[in-house]
Amino acid sequence: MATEGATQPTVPQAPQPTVPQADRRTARGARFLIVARFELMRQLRRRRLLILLIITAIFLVLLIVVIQVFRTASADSYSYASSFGGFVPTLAALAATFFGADALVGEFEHRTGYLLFPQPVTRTSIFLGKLVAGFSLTAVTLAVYYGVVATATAIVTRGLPIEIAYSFLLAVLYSTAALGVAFVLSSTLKGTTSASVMTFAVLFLMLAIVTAIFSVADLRPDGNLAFAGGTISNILSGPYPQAYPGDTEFPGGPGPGGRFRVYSPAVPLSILVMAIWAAVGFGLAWALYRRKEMKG
Amino acid sequence: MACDARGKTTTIKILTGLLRPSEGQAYIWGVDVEKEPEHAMSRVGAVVETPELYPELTPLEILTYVGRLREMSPDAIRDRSKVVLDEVKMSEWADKRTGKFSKGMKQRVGIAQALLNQPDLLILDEPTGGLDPRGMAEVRDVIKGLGRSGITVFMSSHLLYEVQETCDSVALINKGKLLMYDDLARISLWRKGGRVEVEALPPIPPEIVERVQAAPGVKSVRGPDGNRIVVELEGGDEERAALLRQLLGWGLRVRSFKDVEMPLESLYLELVKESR
Repeated sequence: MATEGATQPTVPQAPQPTVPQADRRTARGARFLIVARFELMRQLRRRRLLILLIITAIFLVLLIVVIQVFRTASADSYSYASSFGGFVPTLAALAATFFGADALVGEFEHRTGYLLFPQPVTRTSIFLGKLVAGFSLTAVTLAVYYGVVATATAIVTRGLPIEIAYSFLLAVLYSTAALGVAFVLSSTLKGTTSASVMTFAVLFLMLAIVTAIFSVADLRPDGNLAFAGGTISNILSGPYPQAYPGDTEFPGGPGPGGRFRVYSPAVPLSILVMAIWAAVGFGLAWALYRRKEMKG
Repeated sequence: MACDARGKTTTIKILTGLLRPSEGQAYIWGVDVEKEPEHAMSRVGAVVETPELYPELTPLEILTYVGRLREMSPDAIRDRSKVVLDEVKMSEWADKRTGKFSKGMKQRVGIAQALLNQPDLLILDEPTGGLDPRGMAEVRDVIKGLGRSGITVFMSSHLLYEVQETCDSVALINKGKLLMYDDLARISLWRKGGRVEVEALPPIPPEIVERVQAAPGVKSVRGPDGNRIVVELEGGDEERAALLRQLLGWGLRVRSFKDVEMPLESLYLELVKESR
């Protein structure tokens, strides 16, 4: 409440620019690309991509050597390539943790938001920029991994199944969904460390545990992201769709029947599930991030 | 201006889109900052608290980032970056990554980015907070220079002398409420009381002290303490002038007559007391 007789501030109108105004070549909608460019620059300088590529290289070398030592002469290109599929969800979880977990919360924890948020850029553009940067780096990591797998398969088996490309596309979709999970945690939690640990724990452990619990309870875990990610490896089993593995039963399970069922994710349904996880993840993260305030 | 935790930074954070108002709207140049942040901030530079810089980037790269977001051309960014880094004395650090910069250096880069596109309005939140005395003086010089160059500087501070030294107008707030807004030159018109210290060539006779005590507008007199008395007044400038006339008329050889508190300080405390 102003004291009686106070001179009240008036609302001035926007002045005409007094200096040569910046050119208008940058469309307002393209600001997210500027954010993405500088996010990429920052991530590259932090050497996270390099670290992840080194981890990938170490694993690939070990895998290639082990497969070479233990493979039978009759092993075809499918069985050779499928040996590499199991590592992809772990790689996607690492990529999501490296490139997504601290992307949003970092601006708040490290107080760089005080520099970025007062600029003439919307939170939506910042969010999109970080998403594009995270997605690009994840896709590059997977592309390198699959490039090496395809090359090794072609050299060793003299065959190159198209299913490697299918698997790569599924891996990109899976990692996008994983990035969505990372973004949700990054927009919810208060620290980069907790967001990173939680992202990896959810993607690497919790979802796998839920899948296992569902299997023991004889329930199809179709809505589970980790279960849907099984298609990345399964699709390398043989020519798709003919050789795609179905559900299998083993003796020794609980209950009167004594059967234990192992479920196999269907490709179309898994694509839908991963797309939904990605869309819901990014949508939720965006809604939370837009409303997140720079307190303290 | 306000004491700590009375709404200065909150006001600035709302204006710059860092916080949402719990009620009401905030406008810059008549543009709602919540609904149209890009438009509202397009001709505004802001330094809120001491911004942390991206440690992986150099000041030049940070200015390029900010310049591109403000739709500046690469040529304009290059030219203006040189000017603003010179202005804040950071040119020799332009190509060094900011990871190990001191707080003062970060503050200066913060000011540089805010000035990059020659904004019409510069918003500064406690711009000298956390700086050493030399850094404070440098930042104040920059602010005064900007004011002279025609940029409107909207700054918050709890340092009374800083406000008096750098500002033309002042708004006093308490717990988020505006107590007063006026030109600094007219602040004294708001003052309703305060304490005046009178120094005279010795001695100060006891009867003069008694006369002062009985004078209109005088609440109390402390002293004499050597050649000094402190008079607590109820009135404003008129009462002060009248008291001085009376003192001279009674034959007191006054060598100084001054407010004990700075006008802003006493006014602020008075307004806060009234607003309770």
